[in-house]
Amino acid sequence: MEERRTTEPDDQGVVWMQAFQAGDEAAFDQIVDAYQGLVFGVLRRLLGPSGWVEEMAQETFVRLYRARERYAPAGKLSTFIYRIAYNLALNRIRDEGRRPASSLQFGKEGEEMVVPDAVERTAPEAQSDSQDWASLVEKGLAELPENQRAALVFQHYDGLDLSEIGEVLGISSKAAKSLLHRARENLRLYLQPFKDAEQD
Amino acid sequence: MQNKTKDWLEGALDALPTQPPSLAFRGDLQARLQREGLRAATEGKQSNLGSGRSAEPGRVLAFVRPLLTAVAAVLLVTFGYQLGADSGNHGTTMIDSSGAIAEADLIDLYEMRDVIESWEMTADAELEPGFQAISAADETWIDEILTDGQE
Repeated sequence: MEERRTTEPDDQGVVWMQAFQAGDEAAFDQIVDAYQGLVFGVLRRLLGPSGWVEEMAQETFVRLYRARERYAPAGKLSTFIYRIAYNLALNRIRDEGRRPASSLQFGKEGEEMVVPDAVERTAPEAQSDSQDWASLVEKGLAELPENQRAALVFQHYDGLDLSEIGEVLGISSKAAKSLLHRARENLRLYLQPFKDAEQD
Repeated sequence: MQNKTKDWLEGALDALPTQPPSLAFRGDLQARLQREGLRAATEGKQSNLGSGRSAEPGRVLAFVRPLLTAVAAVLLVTFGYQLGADSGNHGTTMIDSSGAIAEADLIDLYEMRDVIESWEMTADAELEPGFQAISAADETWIDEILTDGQE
């Protein structure tokens, strides 16, 4: 990893985690209260509308609880939690071999994609409201390779910078930047026909 | 990085809904932690860790534990010392507070000197003949000693 983050003394999560390590059980409850929304959000976007979100969220905090002894502050606690959640989501996706039904074939990283005409499959009139866009984005994200999807989710929804994304995904900042670029291009390619249809 | 004000993709991404935690989530998590033996029942336990300074109780707890251990050790040592002090002096005082030695004690000391002088001191070398100095004649009685208990 190129850029290792140092301890952030102002991070409230780190303060809670250290208190928890010192024996304050209630500090763990503070962590759950503060970070459960974050965990649900990221898992929902990584896993899609599956029934696994709540279970994986619970598992994330159980893992955090178990990490009590070995946790060493390095950056924000949220980054540590993201990493747990991401790995759990990744395992879940791989266990299921779940690739949501779609006619679109994304290649592996860096490969060319074959994008069928989305407009032919979907009535343009039905794609105009945000609900439908949400559905389309959901499908587009699900078609991305897991690491591209995660990079985009962490960057767009959670506001992580390249260094933090790299830390969560276990890659360099440069690789994270490249991953983000490909994720955006792939998603844009998927959504562009629907966008064009909306404008027609 | 894409320009958020111009890139329609950003707007499209914003349309994706999130999923709020269920109301039962915290309770379910608590139940699981207890079920797995990770945590004892702590319902109703309140933390005052609301702000950055509020982590003090946890830190104080970390200092209190070794302090209590040290206090317990001091109490134990003091108690042991008192037990020893209360046991009294079982020795014989030969010198009184003025530093004079009683006549009877002088006689005892003199007699003890006679006893010590009467002992025949033997050199260490004579007590350790060593196996290499054992002659053939000695082997017989050594064998007898070694086999005596086995018969």
